[in-house]
Amino acid sequence: MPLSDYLRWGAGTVLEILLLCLVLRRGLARRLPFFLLYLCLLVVYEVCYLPSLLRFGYQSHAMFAFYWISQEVLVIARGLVVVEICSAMLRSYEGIWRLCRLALSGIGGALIFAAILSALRSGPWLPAMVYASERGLELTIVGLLLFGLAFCRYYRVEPEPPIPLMALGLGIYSAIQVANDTLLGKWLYAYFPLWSSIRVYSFDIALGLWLVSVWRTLPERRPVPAMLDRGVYEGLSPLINLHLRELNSRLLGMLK
Amino acid sequence: MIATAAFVITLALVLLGLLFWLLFPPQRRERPKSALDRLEVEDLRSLHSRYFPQIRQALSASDGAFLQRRVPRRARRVWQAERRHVAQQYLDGLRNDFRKLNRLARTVAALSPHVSRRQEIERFWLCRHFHVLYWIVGLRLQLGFIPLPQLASLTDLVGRLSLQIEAAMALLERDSSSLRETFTT
Repeated sequence: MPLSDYLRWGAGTVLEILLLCLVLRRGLARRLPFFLLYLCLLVVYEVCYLPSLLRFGYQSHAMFAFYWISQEVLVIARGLVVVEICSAMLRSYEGIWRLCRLALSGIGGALIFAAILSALRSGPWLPAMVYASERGLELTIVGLLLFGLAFCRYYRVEPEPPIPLMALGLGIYSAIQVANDTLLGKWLYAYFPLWSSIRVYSFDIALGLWLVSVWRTLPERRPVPAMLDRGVYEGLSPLINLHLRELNSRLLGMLK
Repeated sequence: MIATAAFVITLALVLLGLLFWLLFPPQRRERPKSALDRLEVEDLRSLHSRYFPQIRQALSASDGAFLQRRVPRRARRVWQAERRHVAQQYLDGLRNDFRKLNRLARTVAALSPHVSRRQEIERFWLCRHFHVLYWIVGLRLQLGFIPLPQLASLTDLVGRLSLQIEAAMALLERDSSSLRETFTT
């Protein structure tokens, strides 16, 4: 392994440990426990990566198993972080959070099912199945993240720092991996060196964004919004829907 | 192969674009507001539908019949174009009123401990449907395919809605002021 790879591995590990320390220092462990868990898993993986590589060699079955099992574990942890981010943005708004949770479960379930199907269809060659499953899981992460953010935007809920940059980091990494894994599945070994570089650089971008998001002291958290009386919603919402229906039917009538 | 690569890279770019758009919309650069601050009831009141009687007068067919007898064709055409321009502006105004009302409904839903899944999904689709229909009606109005009195009947509907919503908002205003008091104390 060239010296530059050792240096990159060392710098990456140090930055991940720094991020972990900052997350603990900013008190995010209680707010985002799954993010903390993900960072712990990441640091453990990085610490084990180099000794495993030196011991088993780059092209061994053991290294393949170590690398891909750990990647699948990390991608699942990232999925949990995305759900946690959606929860952090919306849990103060009880009514719509209940609605969002249901939709997230449905979308997540459908995308995971699609990922399993895609992996099975890519078989029986194991590496192709692994790439396809990772692509499916990354797509699930992006899908859930986009839905959660769209939901917040629709109901005009503004995410508090450090959520936007964390979400951006997760989204950038996963969106790039979806494209990267698809191309790897098509071109395999010819594309492998480029795939590997894109993977490393996109993760560096995500890591940089996460570091920026927790570098400064976080602003004070917004107070939990006081909820309206139940009657306000029950009185107003059906009224607007009724008139919107009537308006649409009149507009439709004009077009006939 | 190239087509696949192009498709996948485009997909990734679209996903990234969506992500940026959702996380950093242009209005985010304004002063951030809490959910309660956003409950400015006065801002949400519909305005355009209040001018319904004047617009109905402007769009009435009787003026056309009168002008047909007394004014040359060219002047009538200019008058028609102006009328359509006014009608289009009014249609835009009605859409703004509806946006405000829909925003009010979403803000109320966000601040409610219980929301009806059916109501929310229905409103979401009704709004999408409304925007599509609005766009088609606007297009046909510009092309002169929609008689203006039909638009006048639409304003009647929005006017009625506005009155009912204002009554509902009186209740909301009372609630939001008590909430503000809770916050300030």
